Amino acid sequence: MNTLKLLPRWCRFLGLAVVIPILLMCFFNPDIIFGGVPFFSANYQPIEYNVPGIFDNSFQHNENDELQIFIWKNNDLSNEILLALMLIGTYLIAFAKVKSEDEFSSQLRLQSLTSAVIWNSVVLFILNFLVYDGMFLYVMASQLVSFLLIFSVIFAFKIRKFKKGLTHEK
Amino acid sequence: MKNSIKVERARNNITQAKLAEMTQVSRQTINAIELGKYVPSALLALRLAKIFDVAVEEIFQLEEGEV
Repeated sequence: MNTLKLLPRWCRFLGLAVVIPILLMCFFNPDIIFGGVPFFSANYQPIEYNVPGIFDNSFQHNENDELQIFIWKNNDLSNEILLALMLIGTYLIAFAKVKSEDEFSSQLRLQSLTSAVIWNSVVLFILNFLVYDGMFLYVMASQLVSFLLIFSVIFAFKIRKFKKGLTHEK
Repeated sequence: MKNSIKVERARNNITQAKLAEMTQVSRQTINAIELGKYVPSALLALRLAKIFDVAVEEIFQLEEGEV
């Protein structure tokens, strides 16, 4: 009995192929989250388009100090694309079927989700007292994907633990 | 909740892998149930009872304090 609607198993590998390079890029240059240049690119070409936005990053005010909402803006979309890929990648990893998907793995999935909520909250609670001012934006950005990543790690660990616990039958 | 799946398996000469195949779950699941680390769904419990040709209560019993 398995009532969870999950993605095919190959999605996990696709997700890993997407997430690992982005995580490495973010590790070496966290600024790419907010539009910085990727560390590996010497001839970086921004992906600039005129795009709609709800607010401008000049904090909703123009030179006349008027609120600017629903604006069109020329913006480098590379960091938006990276974040979208990261969200899709973590989703693919977290919600792909495992090799032996059944009711027991569904329960492990639920337990892992619960643990992920707790650990994610603990990490956020601690970082709240250790990271201040503008740097806290990095913490908030990481929180967008950290929950699903923590869940994936805990779930993989639990599945592995039970696989290892299997004794060879005579 | 304790269970006698291991005993029933031995009595019917069925391996964990074979039982897993018959009940359409993984061997991990059968192993976890035998070790008492997982309480199966009613559907799986009924399937197991049918395979061993016994009543569900004969395989799964409540322990003291669980009533």
